[in-house]
Amino acid sequence: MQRKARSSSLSGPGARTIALGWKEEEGATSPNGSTEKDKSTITITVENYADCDSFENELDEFFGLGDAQIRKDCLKESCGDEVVMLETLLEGRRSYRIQAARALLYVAMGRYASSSAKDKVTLSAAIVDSNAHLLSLGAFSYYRAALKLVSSQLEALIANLGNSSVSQEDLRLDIENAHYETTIYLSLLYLLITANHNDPELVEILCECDPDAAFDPPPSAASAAASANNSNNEGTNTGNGFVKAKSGRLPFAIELFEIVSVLAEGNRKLYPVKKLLLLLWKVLLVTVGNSGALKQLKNAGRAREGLPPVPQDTYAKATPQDFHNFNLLTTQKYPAYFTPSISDLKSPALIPDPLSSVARRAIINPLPPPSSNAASTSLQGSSANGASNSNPLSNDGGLSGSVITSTIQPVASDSLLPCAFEESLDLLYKKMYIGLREVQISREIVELEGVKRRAAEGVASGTGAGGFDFPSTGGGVTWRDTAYKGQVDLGLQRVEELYRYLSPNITIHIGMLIRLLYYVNLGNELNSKNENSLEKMPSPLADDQVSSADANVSSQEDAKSKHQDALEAADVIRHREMVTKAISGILLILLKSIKCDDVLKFEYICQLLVDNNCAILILKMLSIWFQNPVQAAMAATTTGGVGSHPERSDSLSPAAISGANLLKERDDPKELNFFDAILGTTNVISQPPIDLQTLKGSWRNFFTTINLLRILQKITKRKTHRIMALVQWKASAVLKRIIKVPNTGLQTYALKLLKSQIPLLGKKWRSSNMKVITSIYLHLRPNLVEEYLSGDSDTDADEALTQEQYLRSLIACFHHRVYPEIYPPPAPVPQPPSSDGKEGQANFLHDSGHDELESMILSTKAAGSYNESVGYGGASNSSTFHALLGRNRYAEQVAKLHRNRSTLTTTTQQPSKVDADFEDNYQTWLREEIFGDAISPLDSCDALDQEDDMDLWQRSKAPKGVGYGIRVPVVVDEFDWPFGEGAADHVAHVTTGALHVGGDGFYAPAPTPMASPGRNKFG
Amino acid sequence: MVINRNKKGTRLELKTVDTDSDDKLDDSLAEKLIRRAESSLAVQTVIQHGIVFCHSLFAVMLKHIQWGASIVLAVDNSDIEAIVRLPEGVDPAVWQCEHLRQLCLQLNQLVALLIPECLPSNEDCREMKAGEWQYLCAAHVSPQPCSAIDYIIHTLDGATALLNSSKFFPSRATIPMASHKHFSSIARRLYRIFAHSWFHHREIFDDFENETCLYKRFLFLSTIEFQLIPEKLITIPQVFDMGV
Repeated sequence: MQRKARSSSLSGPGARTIALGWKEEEGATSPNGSTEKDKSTITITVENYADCDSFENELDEFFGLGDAQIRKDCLKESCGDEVVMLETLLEGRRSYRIQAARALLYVAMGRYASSSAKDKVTLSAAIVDSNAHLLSLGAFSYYRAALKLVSSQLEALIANLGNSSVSQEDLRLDIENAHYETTIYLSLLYLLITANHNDPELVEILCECDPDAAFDPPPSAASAAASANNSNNEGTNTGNGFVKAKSGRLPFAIELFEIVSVLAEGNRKLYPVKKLLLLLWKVLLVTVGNSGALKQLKNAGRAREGLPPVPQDTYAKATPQDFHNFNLLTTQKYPAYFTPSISDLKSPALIPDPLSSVARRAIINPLPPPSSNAASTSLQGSSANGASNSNPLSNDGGLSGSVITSTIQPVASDSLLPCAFEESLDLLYKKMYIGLREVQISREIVELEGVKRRAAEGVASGTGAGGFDFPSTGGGVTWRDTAYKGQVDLGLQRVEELYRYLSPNITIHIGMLIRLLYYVNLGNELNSKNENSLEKMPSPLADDQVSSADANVSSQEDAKSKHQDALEAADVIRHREMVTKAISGILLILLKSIKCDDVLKFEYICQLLVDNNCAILILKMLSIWFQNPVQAAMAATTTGGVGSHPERSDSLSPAAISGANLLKERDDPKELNFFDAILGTTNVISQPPIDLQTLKGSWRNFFTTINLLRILQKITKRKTHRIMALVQWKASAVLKRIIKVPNTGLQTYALKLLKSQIPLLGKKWRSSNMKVITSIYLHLRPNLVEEYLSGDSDTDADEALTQEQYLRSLIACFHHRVYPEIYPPPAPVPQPPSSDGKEGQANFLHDSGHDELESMILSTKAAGSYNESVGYGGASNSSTFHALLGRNRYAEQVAKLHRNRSTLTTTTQQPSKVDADFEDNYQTWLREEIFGDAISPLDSCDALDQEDDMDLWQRSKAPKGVGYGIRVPVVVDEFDWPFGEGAADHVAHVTTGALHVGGDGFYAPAPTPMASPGRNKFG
Repeated sequence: MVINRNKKGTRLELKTVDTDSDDKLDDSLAEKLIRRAESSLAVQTVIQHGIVFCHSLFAVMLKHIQWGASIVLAVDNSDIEAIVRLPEGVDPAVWQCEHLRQLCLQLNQLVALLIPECLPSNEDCREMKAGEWQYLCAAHVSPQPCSAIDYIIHTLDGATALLNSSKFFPSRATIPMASHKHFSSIARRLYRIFAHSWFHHREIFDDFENETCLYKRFLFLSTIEFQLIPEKLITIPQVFDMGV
């Protein structure tokens, strides 16, 4: 897939001629991320931001300083037959195991002491060969069993740490040995997987469940003593809420996750965390697939819903929401013209046939949240009505009855609509793209409404069977629409399985990852030596300028120890970077793959991340990394350990790139590099070309940074509430600094983040940062209808909060429906005691937004109170699932929202006490008495045909005397709140141009587009 | 229809006379049963039939009486081969599976013999040892150093459960591809039972082997017919003449 060329860079003299300067989504392919050399400034070139680095580099980075010792030990071992060695891995006696392990490691590292290994290329080829061979011998299952063995031993040992009856010295020694062993196993696994990651069989192997633990033998009397220490046999709920799996039937990735999470429990210094995380990342990568595979996964997910695959070549996309907005806008401004309404999108000509009914529904109802459902459906009704009753207006300038003066549009012959409209419609049709998320979310919304309704009617909620198109099934199988035929893609199945196994402890896993990220990067900054510091940290390095302090020492031994210190310092830095890289890779892959399966699972993970303060953490890290450029330039001289080149510092121009400290190429001391250590080239100081124009960037740090930006962007995309938080934390300052780095990948995501914030940043920011906006225009792919510049978003904090709450309730509902055994039901919606609004009416007209909100408030409070044990509670709040809307802050805000109801467009005063049968019959009463139509009373309609009923209703209640040629205005306002005086007030909320900024159909748009232009004017 | 009942008064060698067709000997019984596929237990029937009639002490005696030779208890290799060799028309995976099942059934006998002798109080039997090797019991969530008798029992139970599990072996007529690799691990583990008893409970092993020739048959199955166990892992020294 070609990437369109960049026409200009940031610093160039804005050559804006080419509007095609956009960059393909990173996720689609692995693009060539190199920037063009800009003529005037330094650029950083990074090869291929891709899923992973080259084989050699990764191996280099995997091993660290401590492994040199292990390597020496390995050389001593004599290699027997590989099969025998593998078998010995599971020996009962540790010494034999270690021997075999070391021998195997030597083999896996390509038998480097043999003469054939001369240089990097042959050595890496040898490594690949050995590992392929080992894989064919079934090495993976041995490694896996060995890892499990040593992990459980380690746990038993650690459990004994405080135990005074066991000698602590011995324990410590044992623990150290266990760590040593673990290191070897992790290295073996990593080598195996990395060398074989192209092998399709590896995926199969990784995903299969372990048959060894196919049953649990009853502990016999003889082994009872042995198992007393080891409580791993049964599925226990440890005190922290961590549910250990009952049997070994887990995909390997999940086992690794569990090991990671268990790390938090005890004193885990010296555990080879970096290796573990890198291994987990690799395993996930192989299990789920690289970028190409993910693309297919996404298409498979779309196919499951009957959507066509992602089109390859769209430049700009339009959503049904845009279509709808267009319709609204034009009908408002030009009531004489009848543009096709959203329901016309149903026609198969536009949407391919196998589209599921849910997908159709999603298209037709682009404004799903309940408070505006009324508006949308009634709008449909009216516009359908209008369209069906339309008289084609001839070109006589008919502005029949409307006092809106609008210019007469030129009309092409034979068409009903002006040329301009035709063109717009044409474009909209062509660019129509229905996202998978819309479909899935709308389905969930229907479910949620169904749940609420049933709860209100006293039926047990949550097990929606029948009544709808789509019966929900539990047990981890997302339901399939009847329109969908065919097999579920294997890849999707794997992802789903991964998620299912991850679910019981997912809060802990995510929390753990974030904590690791925090400790690694910021733990030292705070100068606190944690008890739980997970790595051996030398005295805290505040930043990278320590090694310069050693420059004063002059004697020989001191020089040697200085060398050693420098090595260690470089090792620590590298360790930190690798851990960060691994975590960012893990999170990103998890997010990307789960999104292909189901968007609400993805949203759940995002929610967990947000609750664990991931967004703040990322911002903090970025701001530390991209500090003041001048300072960074000075610091740059001291990094790079032994092999640094003094002249390098001069080559950086004073207007150095910020973050140069982080991003410049790592000239790591050769001892740290695996290949160099083995090949004995440690003394060769290579001379990288000193090119003033290009600096090579450090691949892994670029990778990390871009990943973090992507994660941040995924978390905050289209979520106004979170974007507001970003604004509050002054993310724009950091992002602006990031943009200065002349690297495409980095800039793209930073620009995306800025773009989403622009509506909230205010006019002043916009006018003072035109450069940023220019680059957004140049480099980001636009939507067909771009709203981010058109004015401040008037979304309130409270409304954004409502959106957030609503999303959370959706997620809860979804998870309960699909995985009922793991997620308990969200608290059923209780009847709000004071309100008289009955949801049981099943008439969305009557469902005022107020009632919805109130019940949501109550449900959130109830859900929040159903708190299980806290578990690993991230930073401040509990991250358990049940504290769905956990923070008190939210609850307060929601309460405030409740009080401050005037911001809601659909609220009204508390209706006065009304008796029940009036409520039941008031519609009929109104219809008959006020409007004088005798229409058969509406049967209680359920969600599905309510729109049809709406149509009936709308048409029927057209005020007498008003010709049918006139578009019947939306009458939601009148009939929802017959009691309230504020009926006319919210009409004022009809805003003309305020199409919801930046939103998709998902959120309740703040200004509900209840366009009732006629009524507005007529009063 | 194949009549396989022992009507009263039927002489042994005539037992399996087929009323339908012309062949009278056991091996064609195998083909017959399998060809007709009348029951999913056809393969098991064949194997067990083979064992009983080719291999039992009784059958040996019978054969020798028939042929007038003196009663010698040495068992012919060809008998074992006859049982283990894959007949035509049989899926190799099914064949292996059935053989392993049969093995599990018969191993129970050995275990029963071992239980009074293989006590954890013995030096050798405190952990599962066989010669120089020491094994960890894999039947638990994480490998554990069970005592010998525990290891044996757990392993045998585990193998039986695995072969009976509907997840990995849902039907007796076809075996999914993914389950093929389990044969090797089952064979390896069951081998260790033999190994332990050979190294540490020699008399019991010998008696048992004389009676059933189980080890020989198992070895034949695992190493010659289907390579389930690599040569290097055969710890018991080769005293039998295994010839092909």
